[in-house]
Amino acid sequence: MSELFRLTKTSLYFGNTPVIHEANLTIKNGGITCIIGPSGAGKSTLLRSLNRMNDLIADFHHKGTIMYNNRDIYDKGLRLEGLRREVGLVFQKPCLFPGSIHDNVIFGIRHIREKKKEGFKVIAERTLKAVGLWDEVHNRLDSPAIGLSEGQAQRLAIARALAVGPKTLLLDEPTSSLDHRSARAIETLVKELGRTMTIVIVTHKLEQAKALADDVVFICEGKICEAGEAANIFSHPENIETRCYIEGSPPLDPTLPYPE
Amino acid sequence: MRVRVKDICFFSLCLMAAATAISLLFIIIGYILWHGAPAINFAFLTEGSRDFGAAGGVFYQTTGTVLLMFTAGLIALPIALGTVLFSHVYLGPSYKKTTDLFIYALNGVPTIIFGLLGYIIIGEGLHLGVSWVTGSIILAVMILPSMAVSIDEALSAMPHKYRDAALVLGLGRWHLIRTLLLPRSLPGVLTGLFLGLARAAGETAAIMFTATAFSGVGLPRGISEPVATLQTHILVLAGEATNPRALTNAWGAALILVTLVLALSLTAMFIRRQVRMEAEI
Ligand SMILES: Nc1ncnc2c1ncn2[C@@H]1O[C@H](COP(=O)(O)OP(=O)(O)OP(=O)(O)O)[C@@H](O)[C@H]1O
Ligand SMILES: [Mg+2]
Repeated sequence: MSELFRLTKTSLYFGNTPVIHEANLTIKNGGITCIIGPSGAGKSTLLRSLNRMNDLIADFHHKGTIMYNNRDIYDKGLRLEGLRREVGLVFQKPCLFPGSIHDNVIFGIRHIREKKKEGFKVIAERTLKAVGLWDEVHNRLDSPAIGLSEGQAQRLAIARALAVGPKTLLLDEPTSSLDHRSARAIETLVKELGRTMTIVIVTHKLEQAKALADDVVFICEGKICEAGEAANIFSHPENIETRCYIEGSPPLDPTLPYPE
Repeated sequence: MRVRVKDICFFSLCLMAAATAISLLFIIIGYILWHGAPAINFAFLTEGSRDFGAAGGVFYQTTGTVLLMFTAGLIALPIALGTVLFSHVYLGPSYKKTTDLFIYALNGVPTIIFGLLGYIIIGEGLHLGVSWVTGSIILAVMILPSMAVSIDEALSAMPHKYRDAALVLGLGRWHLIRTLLLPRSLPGVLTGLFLGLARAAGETAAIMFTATAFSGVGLPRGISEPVATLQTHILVLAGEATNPRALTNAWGAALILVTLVLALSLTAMFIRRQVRMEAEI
């Protein structure tokens, strides 16, 4: 399979501290890639760099290159809006706009002429069906989106991202604030979407990664410890940190006293 | 124990300060009402002034004030809105701080300076003379900062996550402005507009020798003609009139002006409160 993203010696900084340090990584076209690692490792930062959403943060800067479809995403001629339309992203906490459910789904496409021709209603129905929300909301599309449950809000946020028609979808811990059932619904959805588009998903739930991933990227302390096919990494982790994380024990720290 | 004493002292100090401010306002309004009310009648509101203000009404002065005020608002509003939107959407955080500083500094310039500069640059330099247009431009520059600040407050109060959620969908800057920032800034725009209008209506120094003429003025027939205003009318009558009728008329004009300014300020406050309530949902 061809490669979609290629990071070469990519460092990501907030101020002077590197959050990701000289990462080399390729992400395949198609399928589901899971980014896992302990909290604060830099997973979200890495994910956000793939469609340049870090650029909005005041003291962010980067070194190295990030290629998307063999094109540097910091290339002067590249249209940022175009990149973000092709590479959609859903944040950890869904942020719905004030306004109706329908308004929210079409928020990103209201101004796109081709989409208007296709019909906003049609697109809204298609994407809401895709995320399994249609049956729950089809008779109250015009009521405020604020009234939705968190699981529904998360699915609406995904529908909103899908409406734009991305080829790649980046998901940042989409199930972290959801109960078990809503989380399962999202997992099923992600699995389904992974058949037709590239999904990069950040998660700290190992179970989820095992269930979803075709590929796994393991990050700790800003470095890419291990990356490759999920089956390999879960069965034969090469790296000590990865193994500890997967087996659920804290990494050995020689400075700690020996446990009694 | 000691803390309680401190509390009580502080509370009474605050109470006294507040009471002073409020009673001052009431004393001023009461005083103006007391002196001005006898002058107010239908003819006073609908007739032009005669006999150097001793007879007739203040119709042209009132319309003049309103005209100047609204033209100034009309000029200032798009500029203020444009500046703020530009600094929010196109400038990085550090540049935005510079624009903010500039706006606050502009807000602190004494109005007589605006008057002088306006007279020299616009009146003399551009040969627009003492006129409606000169006065409007100067007033517009004067109320620009407070408008900008009020719009900026409305936009800054919007959480960043909304902007991020819009940009991540691939919205361009213009669409970000149209679909998110403009609707969001509307209350700030209205508050700023009314506060600015109130300020323009109350302003005398900046328009004294740039826009207004005292007597013999009807409605301006074009933007290059001077306008009569309540402010100048009051100033001249209070300073020079010997006729007691003229003095009463000055108080009457003051009453109209105060009512106008209060109404505008209250509208601004009302809108601002509505916005607060909406934001707390
Ligand atoms: N806007 C920011 N400004 C400064 N530092 C930041 C910013 N965002 C993140 N960081 C820092 O970057 C590091 C990595 O953060 P990031 O959110 O990428 O971690 P994460 O792996 O997603 O963690 P979690 O699993 O808790 O979400 C953290 O040390 C964090 O403090
Ligand atoms: Mg994170």
